[in-house]
Amino acid sequence: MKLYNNLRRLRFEKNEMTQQELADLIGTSRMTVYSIETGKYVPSTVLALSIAKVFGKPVEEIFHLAENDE
Amino acid sequence: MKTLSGITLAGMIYCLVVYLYIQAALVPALPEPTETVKNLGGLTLLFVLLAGVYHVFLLIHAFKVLGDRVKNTFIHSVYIILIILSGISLGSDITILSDIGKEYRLLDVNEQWLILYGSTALHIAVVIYGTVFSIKNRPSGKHHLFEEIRNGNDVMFVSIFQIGFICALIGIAGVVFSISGIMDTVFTEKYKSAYVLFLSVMALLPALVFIAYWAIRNKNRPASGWFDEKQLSDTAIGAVVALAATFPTIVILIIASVCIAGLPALFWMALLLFIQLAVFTGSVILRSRPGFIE
Repeated sequence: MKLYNNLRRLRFEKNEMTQQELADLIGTSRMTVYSIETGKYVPSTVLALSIAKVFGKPVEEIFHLAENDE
Repeated sequence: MKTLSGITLAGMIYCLVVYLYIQAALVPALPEPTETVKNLGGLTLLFVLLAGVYHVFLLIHAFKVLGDRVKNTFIHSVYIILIILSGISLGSDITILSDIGKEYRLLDVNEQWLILYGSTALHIAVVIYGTVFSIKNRPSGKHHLFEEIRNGNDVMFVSIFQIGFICALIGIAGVVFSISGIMDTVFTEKYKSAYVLFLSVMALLPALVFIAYWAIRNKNRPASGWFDEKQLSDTAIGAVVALAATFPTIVILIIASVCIAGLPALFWMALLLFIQLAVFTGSVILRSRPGFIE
């Protein structure tokens, strides 16, 4: 089951936030942010909630399953 | 720093020239080393000590620029390993030179000379590369040597596993090549084991030094916070791969131990350890690569 996300767009909408800045805010590494953003790593609930908190949006607005998987 | 590097490099070249001179001068017909040989040899000790100090500077610099100036962490990991191995072998240079002085009359010391030349070549290579690297890559001043690490620091994480992987390969090569040394000599079981143990410890030391450095930089953080969740997941999967590889590796080594008799048990133990370390660290490196897809 593939998990998609809008992280890249949200980062740019939030003053062109870098991956490192987001990583620092959620207490993880830049590589992990990159892996989540490119769909290579599925974050834990805690990390997904932390990301949602940074952008002030509900988790389902940031992460969503592929249409045919739902 | 530049002055120290210049003196160290000149000192290492002096040592090389002196070794060539002493090798030619020390012949079994000579009952005692001459005063000239003793004086020249004594001065090499001073330069070896100076090179030791310079190696410490190079290592501190290599740690300081990690994650700040380093673009290729693999080459930097190799560089860190070579600094540590070269630094340690400075100590063995003195021991070998002293052994040659005691044994040249009765025993063949050509192998010891070869080790000494190889070791000196390594020191010179490290000093030259280290000097050029430290001039080109000055620390920015933003980071301190022991400052607390950032959460799940990518560079430190990748470097640890790269250093572990390279050390594992060095260990495998060292242990395998030690067979010729063990088989050709009439060492007792105890000395054969000690030889393998020495090579294994030498191969593992750079990884242990780097882990200690990583631990110091994480000292104020609970162990659970040393990795972020993806790094922890990559490490756990690497451990499972290594565990899965254990059974076939042991079977192969048992068959090999039946075919090649006369090797100490420690040889097979060390080989298993380094193979497992290579599989574990290699899997983690592969998984943490940016292009890796699950």
